[in-house]
Amino acid sequence: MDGTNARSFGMTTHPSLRFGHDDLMLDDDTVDRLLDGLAPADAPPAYARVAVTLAALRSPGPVEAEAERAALALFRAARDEVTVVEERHPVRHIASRARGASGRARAGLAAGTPGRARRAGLVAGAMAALSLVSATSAAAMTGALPAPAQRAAHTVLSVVGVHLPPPPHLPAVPARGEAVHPVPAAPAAPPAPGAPGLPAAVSGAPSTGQAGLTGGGRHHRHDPGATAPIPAVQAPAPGPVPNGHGHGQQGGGHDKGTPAQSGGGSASGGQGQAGGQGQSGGQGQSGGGQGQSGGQGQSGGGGGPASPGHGHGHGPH
Amino acid sequence: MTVESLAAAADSTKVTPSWSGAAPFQETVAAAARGDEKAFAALWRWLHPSLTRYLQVVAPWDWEDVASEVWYSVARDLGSFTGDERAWRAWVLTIARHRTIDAARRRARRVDTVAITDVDCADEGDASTPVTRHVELAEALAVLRTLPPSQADVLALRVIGGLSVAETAEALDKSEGAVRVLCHRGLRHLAEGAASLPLSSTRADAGRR
Repeated sequence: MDGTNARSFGMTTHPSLRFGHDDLMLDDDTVDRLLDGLAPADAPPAYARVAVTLAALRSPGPVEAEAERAALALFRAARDEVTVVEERHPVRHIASRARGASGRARAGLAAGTPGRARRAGLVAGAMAALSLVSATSAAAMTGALPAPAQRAAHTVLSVVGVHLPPPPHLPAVPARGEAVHPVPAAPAAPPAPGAPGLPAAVSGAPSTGQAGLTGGGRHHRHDPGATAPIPAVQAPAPGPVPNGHGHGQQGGGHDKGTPAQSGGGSASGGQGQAGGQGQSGGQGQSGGGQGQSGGQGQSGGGGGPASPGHGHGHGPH
Repeated sequence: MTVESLAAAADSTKVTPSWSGAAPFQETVAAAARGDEKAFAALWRWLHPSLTRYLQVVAPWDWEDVASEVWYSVARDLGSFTGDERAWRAWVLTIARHRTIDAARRRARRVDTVAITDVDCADEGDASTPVTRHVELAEALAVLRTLPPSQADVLALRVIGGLSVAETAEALDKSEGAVRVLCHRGLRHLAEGAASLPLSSTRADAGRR
């Protein structure tokens, strides 16, 4: 049947669809013989050139003396440098070691291990740094750092939302003759029930003044009457007063009051109001670190009538 | 070189002939494992040509470095090897394959560079002139590299490495059937592109006349 007859009978003449005409068909035995080195003359006609190519692949090649010397250098390096670490990481740095070993062999140098020593030093340094950071973090979280460091950590980390306990005591801001709290002029307050000359905050009496308000303190003011701006009062600065180291308690929070009420920290409850002596600080310990002193200037009974409040300042510890 | 002589050479001296060292193979391996450099050199001379050709097929971009890594690994792990010469050949080529994979991963992570290492054969003369064996080998390796990687890998291990189907399957972590299929397809690809094979058809045809 020729091609014309095939077409007339609806048969295709495409080579790929005809049986028995695939010159490239191979059986497994011929494949094995070709791969094992079948002579091109004995190969199927379509595979004669393939056989020649495979024969070229199998042809013996020259062995270079330089390559052999490099291989022996590698052998010596491997023999000398087998360690437990290399067993765990057999692939890492093999090329560099091999090149280095071959270079050292060519240079007549012994194979050293500076890389291993450097790596061990780096690991030890990283471990020490990690331990230091962990210990510092733990100390900061528990408030065990020195006061300046704790304050710095508290201030910095509070910006990013991490609240650390404040340092237990902050040094009082020295009185500068100006009232730092916006309490209106208050009449001379009677002495606190405790020690004379001390404000109630110091003596333990309920303090409703600004005691406890410091710059970092969180001040929830509950006094609606105090929302209006209150002019600062120029108070006499009689100088330092014994026992007048009023520490405004930070509370570890944030002051929501007006700047005049909270600025400067150490808003001493007295300052010319309690016992006529300024700068007697009530360490207004506010619960939860939030100086919820509601009143302004009503500290120690010397509070003025500025505004009723319900501060929770407490005396010094 | 005629086809007959080339074929005879291929039959008589394969790239990886049988072990012909002065000492029996296993004694040589044991001596090399103990640190004997002469024994290691004998092993190296026996297998290095086929190793480098295999690596030129599967890792042509960095085959020299990979070969160094392979021999370093062989030298380090010689003490753990047990077996005869065929097993040792398969073991070394399996290490070569693993190092090739490692090298390919490293190469994928770094910026590629162009190495000018290939020999320019354009001026070697036309196909009718005798060519050196080195050029023929380079051309044959280049032809093998044109195949899909899996087929080139299988053919290289079978032809250059001299591994059997079972050994090739074990080295490649494939089934023997898959290895046979890849051999078929690789040879067929080579035959389909026979017109572009670098070895002159006139020589192959002349051998048949």
